[in-house]
Amino acid sequence: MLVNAKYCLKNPSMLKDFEAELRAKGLDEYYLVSTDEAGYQKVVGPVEGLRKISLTFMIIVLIFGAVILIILSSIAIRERKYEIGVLRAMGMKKGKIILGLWFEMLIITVLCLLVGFSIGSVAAQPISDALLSEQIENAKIAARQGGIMSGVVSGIALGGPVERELVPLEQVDVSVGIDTIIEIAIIALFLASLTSMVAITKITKYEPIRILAERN
Amino acid sequence: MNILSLKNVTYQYEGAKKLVLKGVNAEFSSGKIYTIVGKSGSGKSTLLSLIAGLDVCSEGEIYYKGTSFKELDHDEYRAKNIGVIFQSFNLLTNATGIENIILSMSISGRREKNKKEYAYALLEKVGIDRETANRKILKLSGGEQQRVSIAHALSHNPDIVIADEPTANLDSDTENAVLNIFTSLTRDEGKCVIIATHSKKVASIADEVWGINDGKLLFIKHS
Repeated sequence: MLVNAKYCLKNPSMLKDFEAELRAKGLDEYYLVSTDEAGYQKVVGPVEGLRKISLTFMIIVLIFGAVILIILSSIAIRERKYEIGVLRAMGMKKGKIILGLWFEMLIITVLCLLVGFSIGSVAAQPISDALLSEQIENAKIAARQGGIMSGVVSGIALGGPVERELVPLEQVDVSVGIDTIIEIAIIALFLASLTSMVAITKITKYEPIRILAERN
Repeated sequence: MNILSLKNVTYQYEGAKKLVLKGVNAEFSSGKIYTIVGKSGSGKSTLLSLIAGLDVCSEGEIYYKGTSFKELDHDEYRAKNIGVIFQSFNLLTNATGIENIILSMSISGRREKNKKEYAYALLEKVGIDRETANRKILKLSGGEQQRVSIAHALSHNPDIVIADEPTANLDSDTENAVLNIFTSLTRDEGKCVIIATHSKKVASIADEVWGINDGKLLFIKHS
């Protein structure tokens, strides 16, 4: 007699624990606990692909963004070198100038973040849909060619895979949670602070007359 | 009373072999106008920068009211005790004349009931009307910038006023007005005014004339 039972788990990481629990509850070694990797890949594969693309983009944007930010803030502070010299000549303390410029940089960063979040919230869903549909297409092509993602069954089958037609995830609701917003804001403010501080400290270390003499 | 003393002040630019100032000794008192004359590049402006606390001497010491510059908070000294009229004005070019003066007053911590009115009055004294005072520095002529720079140097009521060619860009009438201000500052308010100049007219109002030659400061004459 062939006995088949199928269980769906919320997360693939639960698989080992699930099998251990089954064995602990008395499931004989005669029975095989297996997963339908192919089915899982078909359903979740496009989303995984989307996640990889997003992650790659994020890393590229972070690296390039940081480099661009360093260059731009250096240029911006250099442009204001004369102003710094004048303020120092008037007797304004270094710390006050540094704080002022830093605060200014933070305000600009916050404004940029607001613009970025607004554009992101509008554009995220269409971009995600477009990328996902591309991933689904790729998955379908791979399936037709008998590639890795040719499985049919989802979830976990007890006693062997149960074959049925599975539909990949075609819609992912993209929304940015408060945690993500805070994370992005912290990274942006940290980068802006770091880059502006490097440039400001470099300039304020000179005696004011040297800065003014350069300009004059 | 000596307000400023220079003891064996020597200055050498970084990486340069030649000394710009060689063992300069001088004493400056309140209530007097001093002029320093000398060829271009002789070290007049460098000496003024050192007195203004904008740079530090390579050797020797400068004392303000008996306190060595080494123990003095240079920022505080520049903000409260000395007013500098630069040859190239050194004003915030994207701000108006009135804003420059109010900012200088704020940095010095000067508590004036109506800073704006005080600043307007100061500017009027050097011949800058309200409309001109509200124009950006970049939109002012050289002479107007010079006058704003003079008002700027006086805005925080400093004990010492130093000026590098303060009348270089001024017409004869304004030059007279500025020289009268300097005279009044010393005679009526007991300030110490030190001017680096090429102008004989400016030198003529001085109580003492000093000259710089080959990095050395030499006393030339009393008025």
